[in-house]
Formats: sequence, structure tokens, C-alpha cells
Amino acid sequence: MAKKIHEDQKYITALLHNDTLVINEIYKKCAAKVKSFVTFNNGSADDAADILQEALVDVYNQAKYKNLELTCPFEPFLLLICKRKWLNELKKRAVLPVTKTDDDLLHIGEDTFEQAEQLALQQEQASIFLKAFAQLGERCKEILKWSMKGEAQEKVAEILGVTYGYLRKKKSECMSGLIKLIGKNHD
Amino acid sequence: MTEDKILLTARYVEGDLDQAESKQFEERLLTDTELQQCLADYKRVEENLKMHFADDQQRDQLKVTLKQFNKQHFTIDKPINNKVISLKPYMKWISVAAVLIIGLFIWAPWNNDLYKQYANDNKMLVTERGQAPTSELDQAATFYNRQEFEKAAVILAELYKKDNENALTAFYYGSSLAALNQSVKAREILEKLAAGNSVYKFDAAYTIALSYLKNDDKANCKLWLEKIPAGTAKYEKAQELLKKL
Repeated sequence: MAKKIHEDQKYITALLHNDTLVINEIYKKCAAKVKSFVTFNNGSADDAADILQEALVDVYNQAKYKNLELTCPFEPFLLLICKRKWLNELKKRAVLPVTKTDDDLLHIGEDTFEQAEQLALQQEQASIFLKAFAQLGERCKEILKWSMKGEAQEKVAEILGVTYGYLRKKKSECMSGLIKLIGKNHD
Repeated sequence: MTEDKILLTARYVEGDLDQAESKQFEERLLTDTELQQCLADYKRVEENLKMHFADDQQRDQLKVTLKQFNKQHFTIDKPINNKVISLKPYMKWISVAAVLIIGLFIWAPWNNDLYKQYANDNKMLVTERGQAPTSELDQAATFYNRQEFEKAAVILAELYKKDNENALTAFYYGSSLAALNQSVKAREILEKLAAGNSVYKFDAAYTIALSYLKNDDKANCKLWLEKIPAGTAKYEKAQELLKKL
């Protein structure tokens, strides 16, 4: 199952390390294309800038927290993400559907579609999880938020003024509560 | 029962199970697909929460970087657009200029310069003949060398009338006429010379060629230049001019 990682993984590494030179390269390659797609479809240049930034942060998140490994070329992957994002944004704004979407996507490989699809699914999932999270009790929210910040758990216990043992117990309960909520929301 | 499993998984991951319970969990995990699913779900949810809540300074920095690039790549947009619009009137003038330049190339007024550059610069030397320096031929030479062709031509015309077999008179008379733009008459005289066997044979051909150049008749100019054979005085100049044409 292990697919070969595409050499364009370097762009993802660049995002993880805030490597401005390579990030600039991404902009040079993609900014104009995103801009033309968005502006041709009822958007402004500012919308395009927001979309591209969001997409890049999404990619960063997937890479950092979910070990995204690129098995397809980066540029069409990113452009596809941007397009999906913009289409969703248009839906939200209730603007008429876009006329031209896929004509220039014909040359994009299956891999790219799959990977972009996956990223979209992950993002969708994330928003479902967050909705469930909002339904949790205040104490659980507080415990989970602090636990997820990236600090050592002993430190988190200290900050919350509880013992480490209590934190572990409470966190397990909150997490299982959250997972059950997600399951319930899903049904 | 599933409920137990979700909590159990959470407690296992969070280290809330004691050693024995933990070991038992791991053993069950090998075969219990439901438990495996619970563990996968747990990891997924945790990843997502981390993604959302993590104090990610790198991400903050990245966002700063991206904002800067956004400014560079998206908002420069406006001035560029303005430039494109403001270029339009320029484009009109550029087109006009281009047409003029192309026209200029077709008209090619510097061919006259080519004429000047390659015009016969022979000096009319006659004094050595030992004749009186005040002879008519001598006067003509003086005028010719001062490029006062009109005055030279008047005298040379007389001399030519008297003796049209004299190659020297004929050549300078023809050359003067050519300089005075009386091409037809000039050529008539010079062509006779070119057809003959005098020392002026090829100088005459060269002068004829240049008279055609002056009239912008490149075809004939070339034709006459090509008549000048290698080894003669005008050969190199003729070849040079041929290349430029």
C-alpha cells in the first residue's frame, strides 16, 4: 500500500519549516492560477488570496498533525484544493453555481484527485469533530483544550490545578464522551 | 459494550490503566477489530483536536509569511492592471512608430549614404602631362577635385566634344554628369568606356553602378558591380557594397 512519496513533498516540508524561498516558488507557480479561477468565478483577488492561504494552512495542518505524504505532484493538488474551497465558499454565499470547473482538470492524474479528495474529507471531518466538541461540558472543553496545546501533560495538570492522575482520568472520560458524541451526530 | 471499549481505549491511551489492564488491552487489541477501530477513532479525533487547539507558533509564522506573499502576489495586481490600461495609448504610438520604422526601412534613405560612402573618390590628376597648368583640362581637374562638378562638366563637355576618344576626358565628364544627376547621359558616356579597353574601363563600370544606386535601382547597381573583376582597383569596394545591398 505504501505509495512512493512524490518529490514535490519538498513543498510540504517548506510549509512545515516556513521556508520562504520555496513558499515564494509556490506562489509564483500557483497564485496567478488561483486568482484567475476565483476572479472568473464571481470572486475578487482578495478572495483568491484568502483561499490560497487557507489551502496552504490546511496542507500544513495535514502534514504536521496527520503526516500528509504527497504521492502526486503538488501544483495540481493545491489548485484542486483551492478550487474546492472556492466552490464551497460560493455555496455558502449562495452565488450561482460555477460554469467552468473541470475543463482544465482533465490532465490531472487519479492520484491527485484522490489526495485532494482525502484532504477535503479530513477538513470536513475536522469541522464535524469541532461541532461535537462544542457540545461538551465546560470542564471537558477546558481540559481537552489545554491537553492539546502541546505542553507536557504534567504541566497541563499543574496549570489546571489538578493531579496528573486526575487529569488522565478526566481526559479519558472527556475524550470518550466526545467520540460518542461524534458517533451520535453521525447517525 | 461498545461504550466500555471507547472509554477503555481512552484510558489506555491516556495511561489511566494499570500495568495488568494495559497488557490485557494490548492482547485483546491483536484480535478485537472493534477495539482496533476504537483506537483508530481515538487517534483521529485527538489529531484533529491537536490540529485545532495546538499552540502552533510555526503555523503562526507560516501565516505571517503567507500574508506577506499574498500582498506581493495578489495586491500588486492593481498597479499591474493600471499599467496594462495605461499601456494601451502607448501601444497606439508604438504601433505608429513601428509602421514608420518599417516604412523607413523600405524607403531606406541611407542608401544615399551608401552612395556617398562609396562614391567615386578618384582625384583627377592631369598636371603631370607637362602641359601648361592653365590648360582647360587642368581647370576642369581643379573644379572636379573641389567637387564643383557643374563647372568641371562645362569644360569637360567642350573637351569631350573635341575628342570623344580620350578616355580621361570621357571618364571625368561622365563622372561629373553622374554627380550632377544627369544619369542617362552619364551612363551613355561611361558605358562606352566600360565596353572599351582603357584604364578607366572598370572605374567607369563602378561609377555606372553607383549612378544606379543613386536612382535606387539596386538590380542594375548590382549588375554593374558584378562586372568588376577581382584584382582591379575597385573590386574590393564593389564586393563590399554588393554585400550591403
